[in-house]
Amino acid sequence: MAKAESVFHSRRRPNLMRLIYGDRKYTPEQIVNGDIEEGPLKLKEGSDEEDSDEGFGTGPGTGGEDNDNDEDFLTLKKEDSDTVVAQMIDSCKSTIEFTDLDIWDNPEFKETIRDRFITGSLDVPGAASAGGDDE
Amino acid sequence: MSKVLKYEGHNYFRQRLVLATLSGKVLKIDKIRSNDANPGLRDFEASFLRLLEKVTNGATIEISYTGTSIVYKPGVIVGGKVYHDCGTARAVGYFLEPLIALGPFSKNPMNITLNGITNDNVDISVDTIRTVLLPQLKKFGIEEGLELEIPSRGAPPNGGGKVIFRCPIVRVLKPIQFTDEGRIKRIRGVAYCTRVAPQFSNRMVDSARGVLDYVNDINIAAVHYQGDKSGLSPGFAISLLAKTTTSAFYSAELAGGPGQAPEDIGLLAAKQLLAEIQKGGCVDSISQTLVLLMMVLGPNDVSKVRVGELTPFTIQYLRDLQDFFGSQFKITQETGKDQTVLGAAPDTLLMTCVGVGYVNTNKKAT
Repeated sequence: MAKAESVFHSRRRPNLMRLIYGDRKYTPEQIVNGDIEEGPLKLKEGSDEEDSDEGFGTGPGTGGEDNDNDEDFLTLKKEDSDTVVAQMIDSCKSTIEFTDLDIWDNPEFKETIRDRFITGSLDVPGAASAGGDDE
Repeated sequence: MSKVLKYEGHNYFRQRLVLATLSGKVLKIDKIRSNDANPGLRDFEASFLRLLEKVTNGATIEISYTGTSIVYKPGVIVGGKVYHDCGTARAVGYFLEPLIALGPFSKNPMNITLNGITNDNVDISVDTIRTVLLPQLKKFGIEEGLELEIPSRGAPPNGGGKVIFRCPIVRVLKPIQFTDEGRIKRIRGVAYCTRVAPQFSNRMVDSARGVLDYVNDINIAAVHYQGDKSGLSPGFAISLLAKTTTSAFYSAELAGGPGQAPEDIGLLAAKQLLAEIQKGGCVDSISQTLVLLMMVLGPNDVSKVRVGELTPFTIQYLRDLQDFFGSQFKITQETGKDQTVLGAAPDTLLMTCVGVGYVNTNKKAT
């Protein structure tokens, strides 16, 4: 039960609004996976760091601006993110992770969502203590 | 001359074209697979552009010689009777999903026939669109004549299925306040099979029912398509749906391929449904984008909806909605501590926004 609860609560993320609408330096995948560093990402001045989210299509203003100098001419760009991007599929159906579904074989874990059904307990978690006072 | 919105990359292609069409903004997408061995637009993306051209009038699409960049100047959505062959690279859902977003704001009611793959594991299946996505629109006041007919099935790789989408037009949408997720009272579903043994459907249904033993009201239809309704390839799939007391939906679906046992497909689909239920909220992950779009397009009034977990796709959608319509959602995280509602999921997000007051000027006020 304790394990199940920890799985439930491990998904908390901080400041979702700022992550989504802020300076948009994280990709949607990073936000969902909680792959976010505590401090703001240190961007080396004058480096090509900005190009790393090229192709993610994160919107106007975030992609490589047209500030490429002539120095960039004929230099090899690192494109490790390209393979990840190529695998991304334009679909609202999220890719299925079958390994995550194995937890549902555990009857204890299955019980954790029992209250989401009409067959579940009628006690409201917060009001449970209040009900006890009446007796 | 409105501002040109610039994007890079092939991702989120459809949603940007749809949002450009609805907002009337000019869209430019660069670097479409520019570093790929096979650069440029794929066939299904070009096919989607052709479909967009069929349902609109006056749009211009300029594609660069290499196909790595496009400029899209949207026209008017005209709708009407349209036929489109979706090919076999992507399923019908890929094309249908954007049409659902455009349909209500068309000049003439849409009556669109699409040919291709009806169920696969990449795009949302026609069953889920029919039972989950379309009912979501009803909450916004789009009801009469909204339907998806599935005369024949088509499994990958060869497809051959056919669906007919009919959508009424509205002048304005209704705002929604949907924060009470309620409790699940029934589970419905469709299991279909074509060009395999007819028992496949029943075997999927039986194994799914075994997992979903929470409520008694479970009804999963087992359908076997025969003859000219069966498409060109063998296939089977299951689509499940849990409905709560407040008409919130949770859905899951899975299609089977060669060598897979129908029991496994039913079992995994059922577990997926449980995972979706665990996330909670009033809107499941598949319909998040559609519901959020309709909230933004609603009247100048506050719309509120509770969702479970945002998918990466939805997060990018939120960003794109901000770019095209300038509207931002207020996202409030609610945890189990301040939970007083009976049977609510412990961690949910409350999405609030003010609609932009979108009016379909083609529809006369009654």
